[in-house]
Amino acid sequence: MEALEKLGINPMSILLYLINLGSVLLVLTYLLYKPVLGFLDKRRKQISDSIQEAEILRDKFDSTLKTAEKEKKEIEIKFREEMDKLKKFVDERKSELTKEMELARSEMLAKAQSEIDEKKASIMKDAEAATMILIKKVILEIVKNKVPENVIQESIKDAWQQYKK
Amino acid sequence: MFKEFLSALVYEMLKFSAKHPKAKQSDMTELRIPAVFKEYLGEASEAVLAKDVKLIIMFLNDASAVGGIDYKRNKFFKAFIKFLTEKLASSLDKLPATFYKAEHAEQIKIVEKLIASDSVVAKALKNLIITNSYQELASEINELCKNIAEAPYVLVQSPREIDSELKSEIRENLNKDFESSFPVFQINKNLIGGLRVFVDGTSHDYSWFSRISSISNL
Repeated sequence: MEALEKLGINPMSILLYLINLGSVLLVLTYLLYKPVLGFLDKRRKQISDSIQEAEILRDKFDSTLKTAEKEKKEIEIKFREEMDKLKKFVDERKSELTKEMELARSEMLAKAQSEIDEKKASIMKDAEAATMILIKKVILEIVKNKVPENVIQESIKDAWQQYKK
Repeated sequence: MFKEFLSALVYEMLKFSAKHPKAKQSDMTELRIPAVFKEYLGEASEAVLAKDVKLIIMFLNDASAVGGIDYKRNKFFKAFIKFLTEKLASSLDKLPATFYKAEHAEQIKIVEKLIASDSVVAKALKNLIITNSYQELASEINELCKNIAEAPYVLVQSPREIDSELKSEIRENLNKDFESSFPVFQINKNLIGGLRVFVDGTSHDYSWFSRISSISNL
């Protein structure tokens, strides 16, 4: 104790200080620490509730997002399918129309060729007929005027022999 | 057309029949009628002859009545058709091409040479030939043949006159194929050569003209 007094430390002062400190601590505890702690707890709880709510919301959002993504995927799949169908339809239709066009083109070409052939055959036929008529005229002219009488009489006999057969 | 001839024929047949009622063909030497009628008379009884004479008179009165059943089965008319298509036809074939253009006197001379007999029937026959053209005779005979014997109409066309020998051959052959027919010979210069035979509209064309035409149809 003397040592302490030498150092200038008063035990009564220390006691007073301790009591003071204690009362300060007590006062602070009741007036400050508890409300603060209470506030802090409240705040902590608030924050925890918020966090929990946020987590719930996040979970909800996640689930909604998942659902939306799932729906999106489904829609995408459906859309792709529809697009594929449409593309297939368009391809088929294109192929059909192409075939029809080809067919119509072939028919037109065939018809045109046929008409050309017909016309050509008709011209050939007319030319042949005209040539034959001319040949006939020439032969008739020769035969009517230049054949001797005895040859004609012989022809009558030959024709009769042919008839008898 | 055949009134005079048939009348003369019936007269001769009745006259002979009255004198020789049951005469056979071999007994008919004094009867001056064509052989085919002698054959008929030799086979026909008095009753048949009487019936036939009735028919002949009906025919002479109305020749357009020919075609009834009586004429078609009648032996006299069959003999008549045979005479027309064989004997008369043969005589007509022997006439020269210039006969129908010749003077009447010339025609008489030619026919007298062709038919030597001077019997009533022969005279009627000569008159028949002289007073009718070939076309008239042919038309009348063909009408009779069609109505009595249902014979087809046969036409032979040639570019020139056919000689009588060939005509006879043609007639004989065509008569074998088409019984009781009277082939008519016609000149058609358009044939140029060869022959064309029509039988009831069906043509058998062996003419040069048809051969030349067939070239132009190739």
